[in-house]
Amino acid sequence: MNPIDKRIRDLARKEKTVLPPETERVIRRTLSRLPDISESAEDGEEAGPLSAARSLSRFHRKRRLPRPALAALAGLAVFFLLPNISASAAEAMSELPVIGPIVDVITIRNYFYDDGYHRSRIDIPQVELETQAEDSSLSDSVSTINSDVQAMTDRLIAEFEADCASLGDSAHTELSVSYQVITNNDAWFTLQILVYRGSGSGSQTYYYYHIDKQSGQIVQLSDLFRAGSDYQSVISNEILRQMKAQMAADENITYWVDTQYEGMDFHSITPDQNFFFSEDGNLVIQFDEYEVAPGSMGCPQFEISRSVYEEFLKEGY
Amino acid sequence: MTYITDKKKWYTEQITACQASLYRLAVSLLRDEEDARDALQEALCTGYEKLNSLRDPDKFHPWIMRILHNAAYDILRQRKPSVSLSDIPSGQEPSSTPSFSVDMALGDVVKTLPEEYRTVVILFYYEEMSVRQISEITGLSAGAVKTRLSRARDRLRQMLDL
Repeated sequence: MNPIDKRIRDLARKEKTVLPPETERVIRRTLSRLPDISESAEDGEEAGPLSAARSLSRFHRKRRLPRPALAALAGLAVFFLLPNISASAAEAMSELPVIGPIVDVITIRNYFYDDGYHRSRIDIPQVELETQAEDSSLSDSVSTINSDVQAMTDRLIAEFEADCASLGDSAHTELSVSYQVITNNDAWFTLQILVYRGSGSGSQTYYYYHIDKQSGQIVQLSDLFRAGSDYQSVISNEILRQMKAQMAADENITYWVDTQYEGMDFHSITPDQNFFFSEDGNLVIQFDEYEVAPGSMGCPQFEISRSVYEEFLKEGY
Repeated sequence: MTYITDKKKWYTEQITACQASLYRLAVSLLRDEEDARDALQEALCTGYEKLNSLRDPDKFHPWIMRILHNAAYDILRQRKPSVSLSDIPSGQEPSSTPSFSVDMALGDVVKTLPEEYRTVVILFYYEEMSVRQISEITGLSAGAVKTRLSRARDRLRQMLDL
């Protein structure tokens, strides 16, 4: 070995690398939040959702997009059709004996763009009725969701293309739209759409569409509860309790509670607050980035035990 | 990888065993603690997601180093356009060799090297990896690794007064 190399390696061996406490904490927390991979996992099967492990990373929010695998398409906006039954929908459908109307979601369009400075990846979902609905309100709801999603993605793509044209190579922008079927059983359907927009720093926004399959109606949070009931206060108080408990347990967690800026503090959820149901049937309240916490907290979610709000629910929920 | 029953536990142990190496590579490349943390977090998640692509558990260290290297480079690439060439004062070579006091730690000196030398230096001198292993991690040809090492060695020799 070259004597200089040997001396440099000796110096390197003597140098002790000490992890800064914050880095060590990030590593511990990331590892602890990794989902379990089942023992019988087949080769090629990937780990489950890593959103919890990644949730505190600035990097994750900036870089939701995959590698520019389609760099060959640089300069071209390319549309192509790729029907694809959503994995989560398929799973939900296969596990549950479906009595109610069968609702399915397919990707009707994928939109990729990458010119080295501006990237987008958009999966546009379309809700479909597998069977002819007896109740026309269900098909109306499905049409409403589809046209809403279409209008939203058209607007986002138009904004993105305008940004590409005006910014040129002076800045980077990213846009991604992805979706997930959160619930699809005989009584309920929830489609979640995640929009990520980035230029410099990024921001995420969730959109939820819920259909009550019994009534065929699109539902927002307030529709679950009896008119005049105090569900907002009860759920908000539970969220405040969870926020305070999390902050007490981990100094890295911050929510806007009892800050010196009164206008910033979280006080109450809204009647059209984003929500979905957990696998256990509990309500999960979803906030957007910066809604109740600094951006480093991502988009916080709070699962509310059914027993907290059960007395206010309308019959049938 | 199917014969490892508790993959999360195994993965956690492997990462813990090499976390200092991972941190050193990330912080040397990125020269920013916060970016290094982000690269580490991304690499940890990506590594876990792709764990089944690791055929030989004994090669975990170079395998995760490659993932981290890619994650760090993604951050570097994102950063690049924010520095315009016109921001660099004319007449100043950005990669010129500054002079250092001889008692400066090797790690501090490495951080002053141009980006293209930092990875090979960390992998060759600190991780004591072979040219072939470095080539696999960085995606550079063996010849390119040798060239970079040779240039980096010259700079280190001068800077450390060896």
